[in-house]
Amino acid sequence: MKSWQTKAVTAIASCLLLLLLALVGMNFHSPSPRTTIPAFLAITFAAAALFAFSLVRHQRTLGPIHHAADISAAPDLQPFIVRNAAPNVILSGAPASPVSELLQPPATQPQLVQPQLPIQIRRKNEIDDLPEIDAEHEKQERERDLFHSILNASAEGILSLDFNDVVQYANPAAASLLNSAPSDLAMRDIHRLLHSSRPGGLAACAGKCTLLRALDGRKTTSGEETIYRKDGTAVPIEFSVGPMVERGHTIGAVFSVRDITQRFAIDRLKDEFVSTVSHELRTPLTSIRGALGLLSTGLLGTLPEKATDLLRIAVSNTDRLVRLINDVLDLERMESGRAVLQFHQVDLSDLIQQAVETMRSMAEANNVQIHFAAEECPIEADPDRLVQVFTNLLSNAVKFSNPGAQVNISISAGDEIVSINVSDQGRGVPHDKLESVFDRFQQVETTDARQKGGTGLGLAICRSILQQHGGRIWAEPNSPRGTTFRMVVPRHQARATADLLSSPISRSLPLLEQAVLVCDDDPIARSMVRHHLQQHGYQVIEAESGEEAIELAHQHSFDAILLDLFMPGMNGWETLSRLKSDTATAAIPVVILSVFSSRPVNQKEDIRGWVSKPFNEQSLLAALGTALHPGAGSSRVLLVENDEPRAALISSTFERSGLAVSRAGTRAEAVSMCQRLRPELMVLNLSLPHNDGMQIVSWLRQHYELNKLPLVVYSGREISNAELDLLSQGPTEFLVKAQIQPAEVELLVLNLLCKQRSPIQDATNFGTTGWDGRSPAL
Amino acid sequence: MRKILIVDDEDDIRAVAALCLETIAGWEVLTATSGSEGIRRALENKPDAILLDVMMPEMDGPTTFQHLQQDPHTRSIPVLLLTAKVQGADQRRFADMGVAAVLSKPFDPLTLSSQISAALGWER
Repeated sequence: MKSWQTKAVTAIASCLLLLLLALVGMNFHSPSPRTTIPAFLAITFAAAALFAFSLVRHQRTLGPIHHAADISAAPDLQPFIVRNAAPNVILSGAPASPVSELLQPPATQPQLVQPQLPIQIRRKNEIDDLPEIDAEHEKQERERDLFHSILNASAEGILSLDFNDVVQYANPAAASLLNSAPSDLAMRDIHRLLHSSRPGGLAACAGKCTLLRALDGRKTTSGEETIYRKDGTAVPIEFSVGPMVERGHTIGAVFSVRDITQRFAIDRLKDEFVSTVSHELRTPLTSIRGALGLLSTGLLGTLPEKATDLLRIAVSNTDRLVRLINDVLDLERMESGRAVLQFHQVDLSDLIQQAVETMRSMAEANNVQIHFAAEECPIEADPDRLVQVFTNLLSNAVKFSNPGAQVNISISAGDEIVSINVSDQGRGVPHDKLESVFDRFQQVETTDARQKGGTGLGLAICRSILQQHGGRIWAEPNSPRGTTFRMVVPRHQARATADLLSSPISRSLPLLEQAVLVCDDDPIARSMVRHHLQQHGYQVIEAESGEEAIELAHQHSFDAILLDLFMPGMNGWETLSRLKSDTATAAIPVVILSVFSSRPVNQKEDIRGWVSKPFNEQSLLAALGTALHPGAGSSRVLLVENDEPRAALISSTFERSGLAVSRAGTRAEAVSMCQRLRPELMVLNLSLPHNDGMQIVSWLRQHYELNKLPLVVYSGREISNAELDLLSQGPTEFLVKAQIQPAEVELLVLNLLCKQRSPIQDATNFGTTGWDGRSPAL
Repeated sequence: MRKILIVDDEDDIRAVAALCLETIAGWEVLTATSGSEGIRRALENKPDAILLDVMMPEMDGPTTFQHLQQDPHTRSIPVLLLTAKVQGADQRRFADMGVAAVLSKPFDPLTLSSQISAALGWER
């Protein structure tokens, strides 16, 4: 309301009031009906005018009390923009009574009663006098639009998660990867979203799938995983997840994802390519090596000294090239599950002796002594491969030792498992490279490769070989200097199924790469635990206090924690409760080591095992084994089938029977899933392309733990005798026919699983049970 | 003096291997560039041993070997396969065929003759 309007209204009201007074005065003088009625009318008029006037005054202040929140809701107040409004501000604008207002001089402008908190209220179209606020706002809008465009255009799927891993936002790429609309993805738990349609459902993840581990990790992690769309189709993806931090607080996570179907196909092509190429490379190398070698003998005529030197260089580099090709091929085959080892009963000592002999001349040339205390040690292994490992490790040890130093190789034999150590006192592997030295082409310093003649693949191959034996290899620093490479290998490769199922120690046989944290203030107790566990292939890290344990648990990812109760400073209970209340460490299974014989009745903490001191090896390993492999849940079955519709059909049949089914489509997938999931049974299509089917069987039958994995195999072709032999090394059921009925497969699976779980093993069932009566069809 | 027949489609490999065996072991060396030529030469010259490449066009090593085995005149000549395929499975397959030995490429020129001698039970 402008001031002139106010003035006009004031003027009119004043006139009417004067008129009223005049009429009333007249009435007093001569009251008659002729003057009374007009007087009445005048009074009414005046009253109305006053009322209107007060209404107008009301309008000038903001009327009834508004909360800031209401302003946005009230359409009539939309033109006003509230700046700097605190959420609970109340705008007070109630006028004083109309009469008292009237007696006050009218205000020339709308006047706001000062609210409690600073507010600026202006009409939107009156903002021209605040250009900087306008520009600021526009800039923010432009930025917001830019970010939106970036997210919309990104080919990588990006999702933002809240603190509980619930999706808050998904960009269009993420939505299309998952074949859903972005709105369908919002407010869903990300793990559920990506894995609930997997065969076997979320149970198949068993809380430990790569995805869950990354999400639980609470730090930036990447990984590869297979995710499942709503309709069940599987997509191999590469993902990255990391915390989102605002002003120092983690408010959620960002999850980015990319489809790598292409890459898998390419990997397969790469395997084949490597094979072909390495074969092709050998042909010209044969001529080169032959020619140079002959020349260097001098039998074809003596050459000047410089020429001989050059020849020597050429020959040695040709040899190096040959070694490289061999190594590359070796590694490719082993890692794709195609290398087949030949196991024999051998004496480990002999093998080591062979390696030592091979290295003797090189060691002497470097003035390094190799020390080995031989003791008989029978073992079932592939002798050539193990000699390869020892030679490689000794070669590294000698190369990186200083003249006059000693290299030690020693055996420590347990009942089931043998451990071998190769240690040197040389330059040593730096702490941060202890894991990565086993990667391909990783050398500690780039000059090493050239000077020391290595291929960069040696340790990667060693690791592969150890894994193929069901063992492990890792590196530890020596003090004061040098490195010790430790290996553990099981003594026996073929074990009766009964042993695997019933003996507690064998159930504790670690999955590859199991790391355990031991927390105890007593160094002797720690070293006992360490000794027992290392013998069985665990990697052990020690902590001498609760605080150190918590810190280490954040730095490394452990598969279990062994926790002493009575420690000075932070005791076991407090350590436990700190570990469990921190999401980064809450999921790690904890086993208590204590002088108490059993846990207190009212103990509510999540403890996966209890070992009372003094403990023996058996109880320790059994408790650890149970903590690591809860084994609860339905039977885990791995279905290896590349034909999607058939695989889906079989899966769904199994799921109805309550089996947890995981699927693999290729040899590489099957190998990796076997190692990760440890299925109880495998259903395998022998007619997979590239002979993958039989290669998987070969690999299984040589694997320390998986060699007696029950198999249900089907094939559209006849199975040869050689294949039959290989298959019969473990419990196997066959279906040889053209059309596979899921129900038949299911029957065989359930049959086999029943037999496996029954404590009484029927000896005849270790052979093959053919599906007789059906003629094999092609 | 021992007489060796080398059968390989690669000229250079033939030349190098021949030179190796002549210079280092002092053996007499004959060569053939293909499986069929190899069979002909074997029939004509009756070598003491045949060094047979696996990967050859038209008739490969194993097929050539089978032909040699079928002919009574050549059946008794020991054959050593020379191959760049070093995968265990392949090597076993070759060994199962009944050859005297399987040598891998690239070979060490200095020891080729002794490897052959050792495989065939010849003295050095």
